[in-house]
Amino acid sequence: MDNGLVALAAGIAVFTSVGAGLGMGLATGKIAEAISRQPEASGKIMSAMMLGFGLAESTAIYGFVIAIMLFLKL
Amino acid sequence: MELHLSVEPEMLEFPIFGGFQISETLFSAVLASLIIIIFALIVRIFFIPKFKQIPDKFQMVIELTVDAVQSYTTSKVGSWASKTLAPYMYTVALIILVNGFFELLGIRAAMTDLNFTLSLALITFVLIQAYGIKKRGLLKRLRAFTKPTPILTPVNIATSLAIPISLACRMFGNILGGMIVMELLYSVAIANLALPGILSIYFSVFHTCMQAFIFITLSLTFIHEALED
Repeated sequence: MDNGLVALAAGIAVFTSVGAGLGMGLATGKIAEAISRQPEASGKIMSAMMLGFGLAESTAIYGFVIAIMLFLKL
Repeated sequence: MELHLSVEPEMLEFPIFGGFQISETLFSAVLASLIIIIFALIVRIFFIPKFKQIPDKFQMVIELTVDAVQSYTTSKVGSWASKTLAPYMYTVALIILVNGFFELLGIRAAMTDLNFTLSLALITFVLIQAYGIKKRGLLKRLRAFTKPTPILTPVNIATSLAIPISLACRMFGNILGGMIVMELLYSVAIANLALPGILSIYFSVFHTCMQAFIFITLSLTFIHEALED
């Protein structure tokens, strides 16, 4: 019973990556639109994109690390 | 190959001085620091007296990197604060990149230990408060916690405490996740041949550089916010 609940919790914990994938996909769409509007600002747009992706991906990583820590307890 | 996987680092035995134990990540952090110190001493003693007005190859590489970090820091916090902050950010970038290089060789990087990243984040926290107090004075720094309305003071204090914790956990989680995926890949029999070499470019090199850049950018952004009140 204990092992089953721990495995189930590890599976639920990875659901945080849904938000990260959705957010980063929508952001990339807006970035493509902004670059197509003004191609000479693409350097600043890319550096803002890198920063935003690193921040948004970290919430997915939090869930992944918790899932790994639960998975190693089985 | 079987699977050695644990979130906590293992302890190494040293037979000198009567046998003491240190953890893997402490060993890797000390080794990276020694490499950086020896490299800096060699460059300072042997190469810098020979710098010319028109630079050649090695001097140009070093000037490019120093200039990149310095102009980025000045564009974020202004030129008064970047006299001290630019060398510190360069050092943080160096130690994170040297540890990332260790990850490619199989030594466990120091950033996979929460103690290391928490130390760096606490240094950032002290820098934020210290620059705020030095520029504005102690009373105005404390009054900045009540800035939009005095009712929001607990929220502001909680935000100030949450910043270093989130910085530490972000770098810890990212680099630990990359390390776990690479270890799992090494233990699969068929994919052991060429796939780790290709995927480690993304997980070990790109993630480390990105996390170093994000750590430095976020630290500079919060210091700028404390200076601009």
